[in-house]
Amino acid sequence: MALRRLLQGSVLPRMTGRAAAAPFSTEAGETIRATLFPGDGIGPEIAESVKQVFNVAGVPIEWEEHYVGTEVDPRTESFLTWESLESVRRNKVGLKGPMATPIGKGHRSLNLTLRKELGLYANVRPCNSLPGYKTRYDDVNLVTIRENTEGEYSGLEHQVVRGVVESLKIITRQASLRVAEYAFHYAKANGRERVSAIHKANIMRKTDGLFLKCCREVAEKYPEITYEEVIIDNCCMTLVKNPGTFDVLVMPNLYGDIISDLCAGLIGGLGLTPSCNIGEGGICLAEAVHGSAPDISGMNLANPTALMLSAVMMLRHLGFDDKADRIHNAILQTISEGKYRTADLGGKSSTSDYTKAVCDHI
Amino acid sequence: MARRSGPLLRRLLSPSPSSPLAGAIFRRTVTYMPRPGDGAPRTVTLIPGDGIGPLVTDAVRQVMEAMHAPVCFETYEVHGDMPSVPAEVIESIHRNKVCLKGGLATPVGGGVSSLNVQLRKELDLYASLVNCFNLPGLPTRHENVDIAVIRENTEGEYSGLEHEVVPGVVESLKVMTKFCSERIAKYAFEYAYLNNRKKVSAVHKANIMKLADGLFLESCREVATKYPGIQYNEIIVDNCCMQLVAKPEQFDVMVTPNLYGNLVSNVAAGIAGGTGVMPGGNVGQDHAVFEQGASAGNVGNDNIVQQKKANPVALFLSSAMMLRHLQFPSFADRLESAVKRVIAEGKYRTKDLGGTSTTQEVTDAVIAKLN
Repeated sequence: MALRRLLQGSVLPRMTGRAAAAPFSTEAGETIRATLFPGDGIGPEIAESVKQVFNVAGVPIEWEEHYVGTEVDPRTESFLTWESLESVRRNKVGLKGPMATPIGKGHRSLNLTLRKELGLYANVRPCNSLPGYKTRYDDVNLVTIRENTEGEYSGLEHQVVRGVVESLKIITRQASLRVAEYAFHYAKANGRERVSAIHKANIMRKTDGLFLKCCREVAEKYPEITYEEVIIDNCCMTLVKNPGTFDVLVMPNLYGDIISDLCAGLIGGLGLTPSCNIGEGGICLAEAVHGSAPDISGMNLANPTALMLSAVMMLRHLGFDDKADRIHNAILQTISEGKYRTADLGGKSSTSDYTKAVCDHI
Repeated sequence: MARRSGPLLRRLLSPSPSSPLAGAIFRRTVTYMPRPGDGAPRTVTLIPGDGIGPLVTDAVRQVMEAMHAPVCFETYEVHGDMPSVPAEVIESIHRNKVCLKGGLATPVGGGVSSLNVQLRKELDLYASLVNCFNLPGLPTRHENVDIAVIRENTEGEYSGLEHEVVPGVVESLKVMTKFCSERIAKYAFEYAYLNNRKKVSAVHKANIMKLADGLFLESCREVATKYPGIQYNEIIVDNCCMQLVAKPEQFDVMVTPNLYGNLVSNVAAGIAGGTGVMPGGNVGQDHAVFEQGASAGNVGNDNIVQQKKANPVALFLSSAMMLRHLQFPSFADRLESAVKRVIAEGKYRTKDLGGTSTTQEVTDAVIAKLN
């Protein structure tokens, strides 16, 4: 039964943030421009897979490819050029492969640059057990929505005296309201019934207390959606015992980071988890959250599933639900059949074989 | 004792095939040699707490009586909505040095700070230990789990220093000091050394919180050099949670700052069977407080309290740890093996372990198995 429901495509999000996004034209014949960051390592190979699958499915998207530069661009203080960022701002939609973090000083990290420049405030990660790929958990069907701009990751630390360090955790009403609004809007648009706010307000009374207050305010506007508050330690325990009890989780930054990775672990790892960042003005940047795996780059061994599923999330955001469903079902079928699986899933297929199998299933 | 020796002797002379463990129990391989006077009864402060607390602490009291353990309890009523832990309770713990407590519920978002945290800070119980292991006979999704999570208990994100900067903007200070990081690292390695553990993993988020968690890591690395026989590695907290869910057998001892320790201990407890069965305690230089392993603030819901179906196993195992701390190791051994046998049999299990028993039924089963 779970398989049928999954294959009906009711699991991946439909119309993510559509009301908040600029209306996308879905008239036949009109192509939409989307920015593509293939990234490093295995990035280019898996981006090729996605392009192939989109071609076969007949998705009217024209890709604008941008690469991470070799020099720091002074306008952005990072290796990402101003043009790449302008392209995302213009197109409002993008897909990002894994990027290796350049070491050194004098520039911002790539993720930080993207987040700040594009105002990416919510990270959405749907975690669903893949039928046919057995992990210890079969009934995972939840979405984690994480506030991405403030909280514990504000980066404001200083040494008070030798041996004593303070780090600031900032919670603002504005950011909390914004992410809560998105979470409830998402739940409503995707037919989700329950939103759980995860917190530690019994200890951090004012900060997480403010977050909860904002969530409660937004919850009142959506009476048809059940709202509950769960303390983070109970949440962790319940997630590893009965993940099926959770639906949509909305959390501040640090808890979101840990919980979303925990949920990715429940379904099989970062190689299978799609992710999407929502920004101000309706920007949607879907990304693969795994690393760039330089040791297998160029060898046609990489697993493109995470990037493909993220691209499907992007399609749903654009309103191409039928095409998104077909691609999603093709991916699920390929994995569940088990004939063509890449090495990380225990199979022996190459990237190109796997991609071809997915294309055949469309 | 004489009354029991008849059937005991009979069982020894003709081991019944129906109880395969019978032979194993009566073959004593460990003996503890006490000093004269070690059997003098010790007083322990007992705080029943809120919610399921009174139920489970009463269960412990019954078991202690059944064992005739040389422990007597000084009970104090403390509830989570009191403004602070009463002075007489603190005084009692100073006097007795050891305390056993049920959980104290903290009202969420209210004006009261958590009494669990307050107690730890007041008594400077800087190390919290949660021992997570697979209990034989209890089915879980993960095998080979045997993790001890050692968590810094006094500072970090739980400093309680918050203020509203302007309306709508709140700041919370996370304070990390070298002093506290060093002593928790030392405790973790010493624990590993004394308990024959092979590996210590430090859990952190130093790629983002470079100074704060960087300080913690520095202290851990320094202490690691003093224990060359113990492997040391560092793992980022989000990766750590993912690995715990996928391959928990790679972890042995984990040392963490305050907040991550909370999360990691709950995840580890969850994969090994739940917070209802994992023992734990808080220890400082002079005092020790034993309580349910992870999630001490979780006192269950009204349903469980009314139906009296709380799981006493965690507190039984924690009180076994307490008995060892009080230097009554053979009582601890008896209690632990009784509890393990009850779990292995599977007849008396509370709801969180998949059964339907009440607290009293489990307690009676444990008492019956004490030999």
